[in-house]
Amino acid sequence: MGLRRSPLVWWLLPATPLWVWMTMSHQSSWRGVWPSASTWVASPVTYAAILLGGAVAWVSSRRSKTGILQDATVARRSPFAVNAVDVTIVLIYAVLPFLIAVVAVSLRNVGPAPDGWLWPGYLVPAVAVLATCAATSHVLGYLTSSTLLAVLSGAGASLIIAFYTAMPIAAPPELRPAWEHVGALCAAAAFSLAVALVVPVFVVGRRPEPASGRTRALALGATALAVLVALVAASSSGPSQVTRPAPTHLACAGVEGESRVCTWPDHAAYLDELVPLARRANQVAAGVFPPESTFYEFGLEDNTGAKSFKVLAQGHGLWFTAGGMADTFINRVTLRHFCTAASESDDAKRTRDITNLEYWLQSRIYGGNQPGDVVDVGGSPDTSEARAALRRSGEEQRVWGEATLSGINSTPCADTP
Amino acid sequence: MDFGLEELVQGYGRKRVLDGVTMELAEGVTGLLGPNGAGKTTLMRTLATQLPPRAGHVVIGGRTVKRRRDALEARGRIGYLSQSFGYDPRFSVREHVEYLAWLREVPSNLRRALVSEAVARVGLERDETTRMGALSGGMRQRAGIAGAIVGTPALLILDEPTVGLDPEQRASFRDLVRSRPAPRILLSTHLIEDVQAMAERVVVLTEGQIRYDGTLAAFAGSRYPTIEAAYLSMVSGPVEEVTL
Repeated sequence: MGLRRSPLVWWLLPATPLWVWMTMSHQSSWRGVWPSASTWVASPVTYAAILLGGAVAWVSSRRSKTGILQDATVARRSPFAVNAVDVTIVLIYAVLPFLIAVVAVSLRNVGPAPDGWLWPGYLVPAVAVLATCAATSHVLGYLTSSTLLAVLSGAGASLIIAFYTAMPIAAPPELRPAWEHVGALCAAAAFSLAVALVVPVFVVGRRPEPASGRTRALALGATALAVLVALVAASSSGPSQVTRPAPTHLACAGVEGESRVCTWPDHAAYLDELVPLARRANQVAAGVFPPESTFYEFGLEDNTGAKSFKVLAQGHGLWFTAGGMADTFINRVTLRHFCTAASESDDAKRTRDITNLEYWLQSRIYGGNQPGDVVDVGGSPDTSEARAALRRSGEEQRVWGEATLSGINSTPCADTP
Repeated sequence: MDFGLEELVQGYGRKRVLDGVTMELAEGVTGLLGPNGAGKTTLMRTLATQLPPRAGHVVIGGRTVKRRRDALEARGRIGYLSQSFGYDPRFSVREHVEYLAWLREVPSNLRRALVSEAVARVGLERDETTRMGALSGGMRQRAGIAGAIVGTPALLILDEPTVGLDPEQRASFRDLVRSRPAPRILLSTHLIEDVQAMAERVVVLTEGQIRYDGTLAAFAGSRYPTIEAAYLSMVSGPVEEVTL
């Protein structure tokens, strides 16, 4: 009854389709990949938490003014039980849009993904953040006399909590959720819930007259403490993701000894896209680099990442994957000659040559120039030589590639003691 | 004594609001009269076990309420409608009464029937699906009474129930109280005509003490031409001897 009549239905109605839409549109790289789908479905939580905080504080502020909790002071049922039901209703509405999106993503993923399900380690933090924001906003609704102020304080507190909670935004297969971090977020949520279960009763549900200034100050202090606990838990519990050991069985596809690709089993769904890319990589590198028999995803061959690629398809397509394959070719040939350059100018020239050779090969593997939405961290490197080479004929490009590679490998080395 | 107060002392902070109040609530409607600030609401809240007494006793169903457990037990026998009772404007009349039945811990297997009975008792069967927020003041007050009597309490406490009602709504409300929705009704008001229309017995409270406790017929007696004259004399004149 309380669930059906809660004004939070007005939060649920737009939040659910919005959440599902934000998850299902824009991106497709999570499809068939359980860990990516797990972080992707949780990614709207920051925006949702802010709206949720405002909505919950508004509802609680209105409810505190109805006098229902005050009337419970003459009921047989404890005001704590009455408030607990209210908090439960708030929590149900808080997580329902997320859970519906989880179901939608699960159903969409069951076909293309390998056996398994969404990773709870990525879902639980989202629930914990929503619960923390909802619980804190519930209390703030009871503490603020003005409804507008309640909405602003609920949204503001939720903004701070959601913003400072390090939620993983991507799920590379070599990482897994850090359970210490998940546990800390859950503990913070539990503390906030405890505050939400107790404080409103002390403020309005213990005696018929309004709470004293001291009680209100204590209640406000407890709420501020709940926010603080959430922030401390999020910031002091270490990284949100930790390294995962390489699996014993890899997901591989392609012809043995020729353009074979091996990924983490979680990324098996990408193989159909990666095998043609690997084939093209060997074709375009022919004549300049020896062929690569097998391309490995990051974390499978070695820990340096020098001879592996990453599937970072979030908005950038396969550009970075092509870059990883290009690095595999270049590093295999150049690392054995690599030394401290004799002079700064030699070092600068080698760096420029590597950058241009990498860009040239990456573009040829990718099948085009760098996508416009890809932004280079730390500014765009000078790739003018590579861009000029890409406009020449195939044979001229091969000659340019060979010459550049030769230049890299013949960089004068400094005398080593 | 089955229901009532014994030597009750009550107050807020350093202020003493009720000073040695003793009253027994017999079956029927008792009107509690008194000027603003006389302590009527405090008396009712104490009787409803909302406020623990500073001294003296509250007796409900023949048992003295001493501990919190006694108070919870006693609340099953009391229906209380505060001056501005709480309700969710989105709830229908029936849902409001159901919610109060849940608050009163009416057993779930009896709840449906008892809610229907309470709604029927106040004549709101046809409006039971109407939202509380859409009701007129009089109908909302009826819904409040339905919530207070669900589970058939032995004592119904109504704190200023006619405040804000128009004459027609007040007349309808009086009919409802006269129909005795509970065996004992304590009705506080500062309107003498309410007492005249509904009560069989009158208790006058001024400055935290009972000035009169007796039948309505004996209230005016032969000394005053009207009940109003008797009341005004009592609240502004010398203390009368209490007639029990």
